[in-house]
Formats: sequence, C-alpha cells, structure tokens
Amino acid sequence: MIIHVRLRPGHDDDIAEWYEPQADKAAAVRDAIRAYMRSQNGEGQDAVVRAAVIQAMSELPNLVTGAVRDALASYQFAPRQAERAPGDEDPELAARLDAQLDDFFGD
Amino acid sequence: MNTGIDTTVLAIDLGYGFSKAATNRGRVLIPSMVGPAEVVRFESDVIAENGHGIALEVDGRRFFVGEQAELQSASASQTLDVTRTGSAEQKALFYAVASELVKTTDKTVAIVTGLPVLDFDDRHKTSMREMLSGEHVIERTGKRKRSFTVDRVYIIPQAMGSLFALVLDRRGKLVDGDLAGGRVGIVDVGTLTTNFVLVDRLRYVETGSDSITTGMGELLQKVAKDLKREHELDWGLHLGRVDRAVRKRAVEVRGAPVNISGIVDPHLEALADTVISRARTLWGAAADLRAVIVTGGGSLELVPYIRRAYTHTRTVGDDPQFANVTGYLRAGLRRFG
Repeated sequence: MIIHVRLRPGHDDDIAEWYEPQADKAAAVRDAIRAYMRSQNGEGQDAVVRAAVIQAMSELPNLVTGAVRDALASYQFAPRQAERAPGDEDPELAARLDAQLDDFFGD
Repeated sequence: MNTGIDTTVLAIDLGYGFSKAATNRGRVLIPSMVGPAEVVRFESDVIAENGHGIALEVDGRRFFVGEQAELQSASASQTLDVTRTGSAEQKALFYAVASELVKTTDKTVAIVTGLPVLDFDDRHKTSMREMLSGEHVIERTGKRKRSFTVDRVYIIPQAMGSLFALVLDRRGKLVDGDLAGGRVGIVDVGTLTTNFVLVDRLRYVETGSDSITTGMGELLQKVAKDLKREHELDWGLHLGRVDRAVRKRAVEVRGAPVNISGIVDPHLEALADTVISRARTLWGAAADLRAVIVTGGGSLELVPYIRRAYTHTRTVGDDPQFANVTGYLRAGLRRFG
C-alpha cells in the first residue's frame, strides 16, 4: 500500500523540517504513525517515550561497537613484552652483551 | 661456545704495579716486580726464609717475582715500561700467577685478559697472544711442576672488566640491568696508565675511550722523592713501600711515626686534575652518562677528587684492584663456563 501525503506550505512546515533529514523516510513515517496510534489507543506520553528509548537501547550495542571499531582502525598496538621472572636477564641487553663478547673474543 | 668441562678459565691482569689473576677456585695478587735470580748470591737461603718467595724459570732464564724480587732491591725492576707486552719479564709474571692458580691436573686453559685502550690494537694483541698461547711448563722452586696448554687467549679493553664485574654475577649472568642499560664512563686508575672507557648499553665506544700514561706510579715516584728530601728515606726503588705509606699517610722515621699527608695530598690533587681534565675532554660534564665508575688500584685515593667533578661517580667496592680481573673471569665464564 502506498500512502500519499501532501504537506501544505505555511501549515505543515514543521513536518517538512522533520521529514527532510530522515535517512530512511518511509521507516520514519511508519514509526511516527505507530507512535500516534499508540497515543490514540490510550497509551500515555510515558509509554511512547519508553518505547522510543527501548528501541534506541536495542541499537546501542551496534552503535558502540561501530564507533570503537572506527576509532581503533588506525591504532597500532605495541606487542606485549614477555614478563620476566625476578633474576632473569633482560633479553635485549643480554644479546648486546653477547654480541660485544663475540667482537672481543672473535670466534 | 663452550670449551667444555676440561678447560679452566684463567683471568689475568698483568698490571704495571700489581699482577692479579683469578679462576673460579680462587685469586692471587703479587707485586709486578721481576728480578733475574742469577744475581742473588744466596737464593736458596732467601727462599727458605721467606716461604712465599717466587723463583721460576722462563725460557731458560731464572727470575725472582713479586715480594721476593722486591726484597732483592738492586737487582729487581718494576717493569714500568710501555713496550714490555710479551717480554720475558711479563711472562715471568704470568707464570707466577698461573703457578698459584692452575692445578697440576689442569691440562687446557683459556685465558681472558686486558690491554690499555691505547695498546688495544692488533700489534699488542698479537704480542700478548704469542706470549700466552701454547704449551707451558712452569718450574717453580718449592712447587710441583705444572704443564698445561693455553688454547685460547681473549683480550678486552682493561677497564671493561670493571663494568663486567658490576653487571655480571659470579657465573656470568647479567644481573644489573640498570647500569647495563645506560651510557657509562669508566676511569681505571692504574700504576702507569689511566684508562677511560665509554660504554653504551654494554657496547664499547672507541671514540669516547682513551688512555693516558699517568697513574699512581708517577705519584709514588714524586712522593718517594719528597720522602728522601724531607726524611732521608731512600725508597725510590721500593715503590711498594711508598704505596703502603701513601695509603696510611704515615711513615716511621728513626722509630717515630710521621704523618705525610702534607706530602701526599698535593700530589694526589695534581694527579686528580690531570685525570679529570682528560675525562672532561672525552665526556664533557658527563650529563648523559648514567654513572662514572672509578676503578683500579689508585681509585680509592682519587675517588673523593673525581666525585667533586662528577657527582654521579660510583666505585666498584672495597677491592678495586681486583675489579678488572673479576670482570674478565665473569665474562669468560659467561662464554665458556
């Protein structure tokens, strides 16, 4: 079913202003009609707000996951250093020392 | 590389003042005094009177070494000669320390030793290797004959030994990451030479390293001259006695103790000025160095003066004479132990 609605200049400018930026215009209109229907069926303003919040909350995990993914897309994590037990040699310094001894000892 | 359990690692530091050596079984220090034994008329009596006299044979010539040679004064010489690397006198010092530490059952020996920075070149290394390498038979009066083969000789810049002594444990394991992880300057005050070595995270930096032919020997000779002039003590050929007097700041003259601080301190200050001046040329204010390590036999006397110039001066413990040889041994044990 296709419903045509005419917005009258000077009377429905507020609707036009709300409608224009909607990304999914059909879904936005459907949601608006359902909200109106619920209010007409006796649900109060609180119930409308609650339904809107529940809807928004259900989308929150995807929203957060997407935002975090975008933020970390270019972040370079340093490889985690292997933890050394007390008394263990620093592997980098030990390698430098052995290289120096190789130079001195020459074989 | 590991030379195997049959090889003994012998660390030696044949200094101009004292010769030091160590294995993982013990260590020895003798004055670097060598005298030809043939000029001593009553050799057997001297040895008998002094139980720790060292008389031995090197390439067909007999020598007194250490305290025994010092007692023979006129015929003995402290080999204050920069060209002596590989000489018979130096070999006599090697035999003297080896006869104390190499066991009669030891057959194969790996030697780790050092050269002053100025002599750390192919010519001196070759002379040192030729003198130490190969088969040795040590015949020392009063001791059983020792026969062993030196199959490896490893040579490092002298002062590096002191750093190794600080950062390695007795098995050669790296234990001081703080000092090992920084730039460090080492001042090694010896008898004839003072070595300056720059190390950057355990790597030797040749451009920041140098030697000067100044050390405690020069100071001892000046003090000996003053002792002769002021107190008629003729110790010019007995630098070991002068050294002990300098450490105690006292001598005995005609049975009475005499304080000699007034003689010693000005000479110490002059020596310290020379050493600090060279260090400043090499390292400036040493602000980028984690520490300035002062080591060597003369270091205990000079540390207070050097600390005035470099507040981050560190010492190597109460026995700085042994610091280099201790480090040679630990480096050797890391590689071959």
